[in-house]
Amino acid sequence: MRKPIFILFLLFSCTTLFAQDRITISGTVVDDTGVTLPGVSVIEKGTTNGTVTDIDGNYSLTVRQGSKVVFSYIGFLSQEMTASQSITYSVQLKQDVVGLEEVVVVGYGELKVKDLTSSITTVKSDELVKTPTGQAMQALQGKVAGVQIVNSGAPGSEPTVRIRGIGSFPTSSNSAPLYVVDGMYFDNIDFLNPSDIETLSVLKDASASAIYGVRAANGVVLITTKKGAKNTKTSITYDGYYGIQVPQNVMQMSNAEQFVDYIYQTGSAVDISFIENAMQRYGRSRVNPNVPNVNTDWYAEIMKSHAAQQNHSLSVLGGNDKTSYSLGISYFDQEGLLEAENSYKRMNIRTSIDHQANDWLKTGVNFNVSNGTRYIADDGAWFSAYHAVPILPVYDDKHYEYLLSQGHTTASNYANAQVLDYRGAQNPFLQLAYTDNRQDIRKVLAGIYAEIELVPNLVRFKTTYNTSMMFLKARNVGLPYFISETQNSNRIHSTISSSRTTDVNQFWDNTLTYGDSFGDHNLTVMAGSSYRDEWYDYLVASAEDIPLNENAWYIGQTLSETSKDANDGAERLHGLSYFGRVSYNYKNKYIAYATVRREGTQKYQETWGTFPAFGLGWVVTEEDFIQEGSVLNYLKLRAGWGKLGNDKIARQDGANTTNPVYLAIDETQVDGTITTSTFGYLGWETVTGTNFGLNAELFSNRLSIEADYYIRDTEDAAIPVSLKLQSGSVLRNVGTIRNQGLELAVTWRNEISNNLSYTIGGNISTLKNEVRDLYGQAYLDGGQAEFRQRSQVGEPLLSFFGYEVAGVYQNQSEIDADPIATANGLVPGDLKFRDQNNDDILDDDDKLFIGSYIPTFNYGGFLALNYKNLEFSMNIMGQSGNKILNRKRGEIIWTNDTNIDADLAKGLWNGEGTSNKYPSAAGLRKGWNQNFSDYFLEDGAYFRIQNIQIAYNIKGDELLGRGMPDARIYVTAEKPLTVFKYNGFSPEVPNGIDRQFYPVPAIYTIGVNLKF
Amino acid sequence: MKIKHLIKYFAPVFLSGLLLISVIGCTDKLDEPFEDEAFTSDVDYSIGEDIKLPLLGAYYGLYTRGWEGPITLGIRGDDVNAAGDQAPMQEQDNFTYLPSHWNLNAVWQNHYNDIINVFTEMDEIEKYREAANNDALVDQYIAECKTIRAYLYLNLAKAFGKIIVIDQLDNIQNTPASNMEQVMQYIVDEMNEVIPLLPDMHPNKRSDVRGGITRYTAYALQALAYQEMKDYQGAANAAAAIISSGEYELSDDYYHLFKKAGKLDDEIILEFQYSDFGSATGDRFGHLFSPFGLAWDPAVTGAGGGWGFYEPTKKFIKFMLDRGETVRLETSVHWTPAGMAEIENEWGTLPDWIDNTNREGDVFIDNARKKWGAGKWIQPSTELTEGRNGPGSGKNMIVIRYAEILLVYAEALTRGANSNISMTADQAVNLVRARAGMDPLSGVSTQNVLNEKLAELGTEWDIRFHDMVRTENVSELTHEGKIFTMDKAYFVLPAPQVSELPQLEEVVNPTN
Repeated sequence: MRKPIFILFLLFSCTTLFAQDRITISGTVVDDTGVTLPGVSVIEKGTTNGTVTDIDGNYSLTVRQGSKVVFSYIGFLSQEMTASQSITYSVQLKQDVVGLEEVVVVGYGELKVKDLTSSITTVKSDELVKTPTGQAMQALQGKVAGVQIVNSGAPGSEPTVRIRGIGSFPTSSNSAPLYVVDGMYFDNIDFLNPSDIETLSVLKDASASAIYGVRAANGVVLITTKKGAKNTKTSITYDGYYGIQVPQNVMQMSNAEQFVDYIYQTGSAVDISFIENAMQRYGRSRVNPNVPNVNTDWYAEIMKSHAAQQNHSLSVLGGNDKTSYSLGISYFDQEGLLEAENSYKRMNIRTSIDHQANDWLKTGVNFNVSNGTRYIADDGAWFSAYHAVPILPVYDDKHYEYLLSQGHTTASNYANAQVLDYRGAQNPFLQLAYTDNRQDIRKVLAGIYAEIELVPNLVRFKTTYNTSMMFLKARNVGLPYFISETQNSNRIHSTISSSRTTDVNQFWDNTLTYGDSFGDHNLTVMAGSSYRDEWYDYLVASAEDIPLNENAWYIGQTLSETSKDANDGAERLHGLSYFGRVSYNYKNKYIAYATVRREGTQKYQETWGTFPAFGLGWVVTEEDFIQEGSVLNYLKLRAGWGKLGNDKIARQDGANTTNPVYLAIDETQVDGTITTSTFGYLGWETVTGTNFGLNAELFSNRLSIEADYYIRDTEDAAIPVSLKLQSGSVLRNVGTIRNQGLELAVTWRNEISNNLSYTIGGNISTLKNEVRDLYGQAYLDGGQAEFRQRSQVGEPLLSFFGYEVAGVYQNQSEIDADPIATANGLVPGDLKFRDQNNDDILDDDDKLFIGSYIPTFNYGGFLALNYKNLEFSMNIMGQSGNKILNRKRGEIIWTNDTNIDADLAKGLWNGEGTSNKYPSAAGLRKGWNQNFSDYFLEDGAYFRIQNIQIAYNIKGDELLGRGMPDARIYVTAEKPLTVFKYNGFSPEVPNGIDRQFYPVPAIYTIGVNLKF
Repeated sequence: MKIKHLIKYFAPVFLSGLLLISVIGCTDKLDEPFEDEAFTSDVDYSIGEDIKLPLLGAYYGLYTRGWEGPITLGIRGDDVNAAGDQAPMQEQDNFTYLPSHWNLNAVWQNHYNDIINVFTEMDEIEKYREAANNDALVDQYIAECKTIRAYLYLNLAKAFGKIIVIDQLDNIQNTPASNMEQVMQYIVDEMNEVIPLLPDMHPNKRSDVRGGITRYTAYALQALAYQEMKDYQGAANAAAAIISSGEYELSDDYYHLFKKAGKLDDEIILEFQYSDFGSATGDRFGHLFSPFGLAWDPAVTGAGGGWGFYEPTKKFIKFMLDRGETVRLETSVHWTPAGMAEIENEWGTLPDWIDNTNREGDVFIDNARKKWGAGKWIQPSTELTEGRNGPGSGKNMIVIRYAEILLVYAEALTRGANSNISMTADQAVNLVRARAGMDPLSGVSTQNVLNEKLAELGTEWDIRFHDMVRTENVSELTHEGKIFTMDKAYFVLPAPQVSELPQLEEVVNPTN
């Protein structure tokens, strides 16, 4: 683009101005209840000539006689009128229940919902804040078709978000979408307070997200924070809630009696002796003298019965005729469920200002500062609690006193299973009580933009510079304890590891936008460039033997100079791209849209890639053959196609690296180097998305339907290819993965009377994930060797691969009749694996795909009722079609002197006819039954009541007199009920492998919203 | 009017144009190298003394063994039980092998990791050739790497019977599997090639890598490979080369050979070196000895006992008692009270010196997991560096010692091999016996030697198991209810490996 062209443009455009007679119109804009609307935009159609209504809803504008004037306001249907003479035009805007007039932010610009050709779902502030959470994305669970959210209950941890399946190999790439917060790019938005968000839009298909290039392959979530509007009265809003989190579906473990029973069934003299040791040490139960007088429910011990959570936010919004502003402060505080230092607190301060400097320059600035502190409890405690034997008490005072008497100053009063001769200490409190992991997370994001009107109403240039900085200070301290004189289970010296991580990202975007109308043709052309610089580095140091008082938890305080160690690391990646977009519509009836992006990245060995996208839409209801007053109020058919690159894959070295190691030669530390034998070399992994959809409004806009069918193909997917002979893997572009599915969202809204209205709706989405090509390889193995996950053409990615359990051998004659059983020395109570090829030998050929962790069906639903000032809403959701690997049960392969869950203990085979599903107690410990089979897999389906809220609105003015705030008082039950069959705390397992994770609690809150 | 507009719009147009164009200037950023990476291509090969770095990298690979490695190799012998709670190990001890056993795959992969590491380290050493300006040294370092590789192949072949001998790293997929015979011949040939290039001295005399590989390490591996091939003449010749070098001598203190004092002893031909550098905190380069340990009341409070996965068999203990062994029994077996009672019950009154306390004062206590400990693998608590309470922190692992070579030599002679040195089979055996306080024998038979090997080397690695496999002595390996047949000589190949490399399923052509 060269300057002379612009100047030519200018010359032409200038001559057309001020050519006709001008009149002045004025009036008041009100809503359908007659309340005046400030901040309504009033624009002479096809020009930039316009104004906004003042605080009382009044406007005045000079226009060409006979021109059309458009009144538009967020949340209302636009209205057009012809200015034929200078009179007062008062306008009543109708509420836009359907949201077609709403403007959504699309990449580097905005589009009206009715002009969209792609699948975008927008969730607004009032819906978001119904979910009491510190993580905005949690609020989307079950609400957006095609978006899978998997929560974690750990305070401050973000949920796993997947948009339209899994296109990239999970372990080699981050499946998280791109988050664009007010034009700034993020990989996660854990720093945002949901109450600061105005709207959150999910760009699901590639034709919409392609403009964002390589960062958008997993979809895009666009977030706008709360903004002021011009000419609006200052509003001050307080919103706050207090709630308690309550553990849900707490897992039942074997109690002491069941455990003892199980151990006797195993027949293991060794384990039986441990029980005898426990009886000797802790006495015998009075109820059953063969059971030790200890019955510890470890989950109950490590969890609090409830934990608090609260959020408070205060915001100020407003604007005059040139400047609009928004500022706010919020505070979120969540206690963890574990009996340990375990919490998340975060304070956010934000401000944004937009200012019209003169007739060609608009500029604005945006700041968001987040200061969080997180105490992370050792997740390992969940794992220990599952496995700790119930015949071990939490405390062992006798042992404690003994240790003290021996002069061990750091003696611990927690019980140690090694005292009973168990291999490990087992007690989860050793993890909880003696660690202190603190993170101070400070994030700053700042953006500034200038928008220059190059040619009034035609050509606009916008330059935006955004920067985000993250400063993470992490301090992990291990406190000393002494628990065994005979085993190495003590922590003799305190330990500290302290790190400082800095992320500084800079983005500089420039766009040039041309927009014009020629009669019925509306055209917008945009071209731009984007530069990015993402720089991460850290410094970590560790030491042992630091003083125990917290103010001395510094590396320099160590009493052991030799224990000091330090390390650092960094990564800096640059990217550069050019992009353009054309959007066109004819009579608002035919819509076309195309984008192209040329992307350069430092990340891959193949530096440049070009990614196009286009979309088409047809608003059928604008056609003449659709009659006014028909049942069908609106129908748009749309189709989109887009291709984009994915850069969320780990950077590859692209060459061998040589790394230092040390070893001991003759008691002396000497250095050596290790050189890699393989290295990853990656080109672009591309995602091609095709989307067909429709939006329809029927029965006087009472029924809304949105349906989409999509195919999302990932080509040259970066997949870790196992190295031959050795351990490890290397990433190569060797796969094609397809996700396809149908998404349907239906909403029915009705106003029965002025006092009573309701909305009911639901969404379903199907997902078929399939490996389409592996570039000549029969399959690729992944997961852990003992719990094999295999990717093979025609199967979902990383499907579980093993034997199918046909039942349990019930008696000796069944064993004798089966050559497999006799060849492997099986006994009744062992699992019978199906001999798929009937060759009487059980081997690899009998393994098959036994399930996938990817749910094939997701659904959600909601009901909202408004009666006078009372609101009731409820959301439900669920999923099915996936399997969960019960890896907790699988742990018995490595350690078998531990507890088992109650379901397993009750279901064990114990004589003919007792079980055809679980092996005998002795069988649990045999390698044969530990072969990976569907014994370890369980149904991952669940149904949940996601959210119930009851709110009461009080109009301050009416009830309490002028000047009093409007108030809204609400109570919420979040996730009060989850129904599932899986033997675990929660079926929310991100990668389908349940080894240890923080369960998701129910939350009950009471809150108030005050608006001054 | 036009001029006025031009001026009016100049500022915005100029500004916009400037910004748009300046972005293009950022293109060269895409070609910047990655932060925090040391690419092999950036290594400065002109610093000749750095040639030692890749060599030590190869030793690093050799010394870093998984905990399951030595145990998995050792448990099948009639000298050792898999105790503790590891189902796959107990099943393997019982000669039941499943392709899904996790430890088999781990042993396989760990060995190959280190073999492949040797390949890259040899390439790196070669790159320093010019700067090192010492062809003999470069050749020696590469020869050391090949010796390390040969040791790893020897272990693998003895465990699995069928492995892949890598030709080119990028051609593994197409390399056929080799059988035991082929691998042993490969080792013999490799060692012939490297022997002249290696230093002619005891490992503890090396000044650059003390305790590293020397010519006699290669001879020892060759002797062991010949022995597996039942080429006893070859074994005798290789062993004779070690004996006649005069570099090796049996330690006069059998007990302390396996303790701290035995590190880099004159008897040791190959050992893995570990150390916590005498410091309570900070860096430590060690092996996880926990699985060998057993419950105890340590002389040093807080010293870790261990998991109890590796236990001498009653058969071995009674064999030692029957022979009237003293220091070798004391060194090889730690007793618990229950273990003493059980043997007393089954064998008879124990000699007075047998006790459940070791020389250093650690008291071994009853524990349901196991009744005896394999003392050669257990470090007394008094030898721990203060503040380091992990079992065996800083303990070395002896792999090949002179006593074994003497007995390999003796066995070869009893099987008719000739020797070009003067030492007889009787002399070799009696050297070993004398050190253990045993009376000399005369006219030793093959069986005498094999018994001596069990007494001398019992619980050390897989030496006993493979002696019995080699001699197809099914009845000895069938012990204490575990039934051995010759088809159990080798583990099954790990399922994950077979599925990756189908050639492992094919029958190896024995005629090369």
